[in-house]
Amino acid sequence: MRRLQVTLLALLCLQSGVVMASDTALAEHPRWLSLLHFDRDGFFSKPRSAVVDDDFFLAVNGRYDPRAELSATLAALRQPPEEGELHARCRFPARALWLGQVTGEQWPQAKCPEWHEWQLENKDVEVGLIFASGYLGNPASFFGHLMLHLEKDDADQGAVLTQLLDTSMNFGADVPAEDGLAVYMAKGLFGGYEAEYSRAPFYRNTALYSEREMRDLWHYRLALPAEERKLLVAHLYEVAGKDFDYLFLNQNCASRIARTLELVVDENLTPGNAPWVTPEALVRAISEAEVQGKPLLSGVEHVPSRRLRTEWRYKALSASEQDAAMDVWPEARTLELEVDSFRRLASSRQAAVLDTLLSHAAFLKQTDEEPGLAERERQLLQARLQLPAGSELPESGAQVPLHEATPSALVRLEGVYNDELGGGSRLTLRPLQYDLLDSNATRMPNAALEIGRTEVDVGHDGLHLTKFELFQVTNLHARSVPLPILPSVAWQASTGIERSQLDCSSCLDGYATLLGGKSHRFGRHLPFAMIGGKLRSEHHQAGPAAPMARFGVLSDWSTGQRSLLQVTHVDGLKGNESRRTQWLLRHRVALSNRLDFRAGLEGDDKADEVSAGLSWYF
Amino acid sequence: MKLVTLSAVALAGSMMIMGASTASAETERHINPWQHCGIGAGIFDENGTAAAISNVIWDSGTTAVTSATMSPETCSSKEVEVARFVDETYEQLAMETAMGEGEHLTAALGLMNCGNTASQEVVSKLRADLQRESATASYAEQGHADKAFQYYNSLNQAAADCAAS
Repeated sequence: MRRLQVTLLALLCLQSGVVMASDTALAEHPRWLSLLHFDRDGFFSKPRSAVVDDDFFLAVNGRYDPRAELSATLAALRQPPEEGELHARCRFPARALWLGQVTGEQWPQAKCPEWHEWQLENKDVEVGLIFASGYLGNPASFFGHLMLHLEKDDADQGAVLTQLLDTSMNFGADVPAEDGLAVYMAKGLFGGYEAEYSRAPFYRNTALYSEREMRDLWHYRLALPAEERKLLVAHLYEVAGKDFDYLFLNQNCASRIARTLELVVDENLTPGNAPWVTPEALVRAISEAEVQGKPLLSGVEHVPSRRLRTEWRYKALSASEQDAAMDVWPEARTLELEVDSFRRLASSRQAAVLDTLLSHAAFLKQTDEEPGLAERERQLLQARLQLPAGSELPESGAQVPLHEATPSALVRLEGVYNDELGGGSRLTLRPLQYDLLDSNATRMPNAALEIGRTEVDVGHDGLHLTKFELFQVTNLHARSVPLPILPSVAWQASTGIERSQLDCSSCLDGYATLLGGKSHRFGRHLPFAMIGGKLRSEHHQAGPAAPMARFGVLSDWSTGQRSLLQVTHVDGLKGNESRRTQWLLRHRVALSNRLDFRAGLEGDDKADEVSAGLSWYF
Repeated sequence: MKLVTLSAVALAGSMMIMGASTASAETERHINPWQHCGIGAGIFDENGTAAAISNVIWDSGTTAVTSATMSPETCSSKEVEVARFVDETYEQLAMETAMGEGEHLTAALGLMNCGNTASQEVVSKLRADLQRESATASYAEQGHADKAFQYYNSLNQAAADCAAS
């Protein structure tokens, strides 16, 4: 509405000849501010553009003064082209397009070879988003990644093209290779990196995300009207390769893509001054946004990872074919193509088994370097090439797109009874993101990523903080099919403050834990065992460093029911008082997409506790 | 190596036969994208010198154009686009060629302008070539760029009729 009001004001001013006033109105127009990415207005700095490249501005003070930049842009657009200089309409085609529409002016003709080539390449493209699911191998990718996607119109290509040949516009930080993890985290959180939109064919991203990092991709198609699409594609030309401010939490791929889309979507897709912006927040906003009274989201397509493709192929085999696959490849270093169970299958079914094993070999190649794997893959290729062509990828069940999955923030209210402290209630807040009980295939199966989980107990003696977990990351690395895999480590890392024992309400100690171990799936149960250590403060417990062991079983009972049984032993190496054994059993029942019921039993050497309550996800 | 050289010579020959008359088109038909346009440069970097890993590419006989005649325009040709696609997705292309279908294979055929009817024949030829190339254990020891280059040559030969149509 504000955008409409400002446009009307600008047009009225233009009609009445009040040039200065019209310039002011245009300079404050949300669309002009979007074109400049004029969206940085922190507490300690004056409002400015997020673009840091001087080359992006025509006015000396253009980064800080949208009106000056507007005047400079209009002046440059009105200038006739000069030999050897790129005209403003070639450098800023989106500015030229929009300003031409709102002022009614015609700009001088100019030769723009690069812009012309961009137009040809992106003629009639549809604009969309690609969401890459979370990746625990890199802290900046924990919450997933977003890219803009330009989908070619294959109607006039003369051949069937796939989305592999579409174009990705990837907003990412320019991180020097020599920066270690500590520098990377510090600069990412507090500043020091710049980011840019880079252009690449989509197949480069599928090779990275789907094939190497085993991340599912989701293609969100946007229903933008043709004129808006034209303006957005022109704007992408303007910003490609330009350096932007970058921060992990709120100046990241999601926030920048949101600001970019707001050029053509008259809504705030993510809050401008939010402390963090996740890809999920933007995807959800897009699923609810409208353009010209119609839904912005026109469709969602799933691009499965190599791991999921292998899983689908394996599950599509019959029991005897699965046995044959296991007989052919019983362990990582053994391949037996002459086994009877395989040879007696019909050739089409042999092909299905080999397709599964070839897909599995591609998965293994990305997980580690196994001597001899290349030769086993060659043998599989040879065997498969002797069989008839044809191999459709089977689909296994409906995948839930991110915007339909359970939201990541939760508030939970539970009743609690402690046999030493008595009854009370517990309020839990978790801004981000998922735990072992509410994780799902859309985000990351058999993993947990919780940030800022806070628990407050309300009992007869008042209100007590019982836990604040800064972060907790768990990856159980469960195998999805029983084919041979290379060794992988289940791990868990966490830090925060918590009660040192269950029989007290004000005995908080700080801690940091790191555990590593193994997991192995048995049907619906996933047992795991990890050992490691815990660093902790000593206000209420003995020993600042304690070896630690954790065993557990994560069980999937049905789509909406999961439980976790876990035993943890910590030994501070200072006698009985420094030892603690804690056990817990928690069960979750999903009541809807946003509501669940949880019940828990927990105990240690001092007390036992039972709890039950409801969680609301938002 | 002999087979590769023969196939490369055959490729060069077939390209010359179907070639267009303009000088720039003729230039593009003699491009070795790996050698002239930096495709696979990352792989070269990882393995030291290019010559050490890539006798197939450098001895292939398709290197008539010197770097002095190359230009950014030449290296953005359709041919180089195909080469880049093959180089970056070779693992998936080889797997899907063995299977006989797949999205990467479809994309490669699309880049070569192969329609549905022609594609079946092209895939048969690609499968036969891959079967021959991977018949001995030395295939497993070959570098990525060599395998990709061989596949690129194979694709160019198999899809020559598509491109001409």
